[in-house]
Amino acid sequence: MLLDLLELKGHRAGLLLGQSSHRLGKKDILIVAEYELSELAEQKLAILAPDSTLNFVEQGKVVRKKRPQLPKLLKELVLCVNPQCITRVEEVPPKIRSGEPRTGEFQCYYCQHNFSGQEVQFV
Amino acid sequence: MPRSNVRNTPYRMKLTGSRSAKLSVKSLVSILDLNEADIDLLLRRADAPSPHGSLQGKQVALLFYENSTRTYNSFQTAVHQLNGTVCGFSGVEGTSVLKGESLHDTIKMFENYADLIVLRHPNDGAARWAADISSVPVINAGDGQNEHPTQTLLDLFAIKKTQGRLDNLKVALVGDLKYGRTVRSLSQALSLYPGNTLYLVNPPFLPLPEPLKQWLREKGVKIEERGSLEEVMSLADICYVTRIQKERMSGVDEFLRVEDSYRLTRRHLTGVKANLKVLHPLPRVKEIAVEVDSTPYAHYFAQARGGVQVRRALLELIAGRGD
Repeated sequence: MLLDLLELKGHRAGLLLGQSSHRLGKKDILIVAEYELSELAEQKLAILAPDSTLNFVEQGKVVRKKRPQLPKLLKELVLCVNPQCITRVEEVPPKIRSGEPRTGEFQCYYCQHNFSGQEVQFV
Repeated sequence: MPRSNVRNTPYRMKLTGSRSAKLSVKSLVSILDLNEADIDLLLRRADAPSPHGSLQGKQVALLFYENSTRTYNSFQTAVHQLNGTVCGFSGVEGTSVLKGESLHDTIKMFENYADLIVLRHPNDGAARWAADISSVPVINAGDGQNEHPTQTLLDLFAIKKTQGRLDNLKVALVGDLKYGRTVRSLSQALSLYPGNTLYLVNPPFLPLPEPLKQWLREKGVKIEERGSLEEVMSLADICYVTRIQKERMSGVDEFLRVEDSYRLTRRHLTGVKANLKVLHPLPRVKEIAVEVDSTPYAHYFAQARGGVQVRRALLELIAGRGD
């Protein structure tokens, strides 16, 4: 699933589990070679792992760090979970408002249904 | 036989505030599309004499995917009072909808025929979608369980009429607070005004949704959850009762067990404030006993009478020719 969501297929990647972390106690590290994170993949990461940090490595050194960013309005990224929403019965491109990523709150722009990050279904 | 004076007597009330003559929005989808000045303008205009001819030469499409008695007819009457014409449908029998036409395509068709679209649709969010794709203004006449802003405007009209204000009120919300769209919209509208308190009286399985409660608290609304009508009736200025819909119950037995606990009777009206008014969006089933109708507190039929006035004001301000 993660391979698809982060568009990792075809890239060389490694996973380090249970590494020590000052901030979180433990952390997992995903290393991907020659990979450029797309805007869409970054938004998915922000939903799936809001506490994650992106480290950009060039010639063996971390040159930049950032938290994955989520815009206030997610367009055609996440489905509304309300089965009665117009976006689930007609061909309407879903638009979802995102709240504070850490609290994982989302609201459909159309039907105003609120749902949590655990309920998120990607388009 | 002369026509009833009561029926022909429109609400008259004194309103204060902004005298701006335009709404800040092109369409009305959610009550939260409106600000305090918009609501003030609408209620003031609803209380003014009907400006005949404001919709002269204009056509309003009434697209009602679900049958509706009060809302459809009050919109139709309001258009006629403004000398406009109507097209559209009430119920999808015999329309292209039954052939599978999408809401998108229906809206794109009717925007060619009408200067304004009034939409009732069974799906949540349909009105926002319609407003986004339509080249003419859209008024939401109810979208699924989501919103019914014109009902809220007439609720506010009744509250303002009977209490003289929309702030510093104690409002009991009674019945189905989980699925009732009128409750959601009214509570949101009351959050625009300072000092309001909401008493929530609902079966345990039909609570006001937690995110909405949280949102209302953040807006400064005081929320108190009360277990029974007895606890709130002596405190309330407004008792807003809603129908508990059996089809929403997981089991009918569950509903029958609690039904009488949320039924307003004359017994509840002893020791209440003199200014208390009981409102209901109608239709009523059993949640207000008929014996309440003859008390000075019953205001639900008068409340419904404001429906044409409020909708006429809205049509005039959105699609009318101005003063």
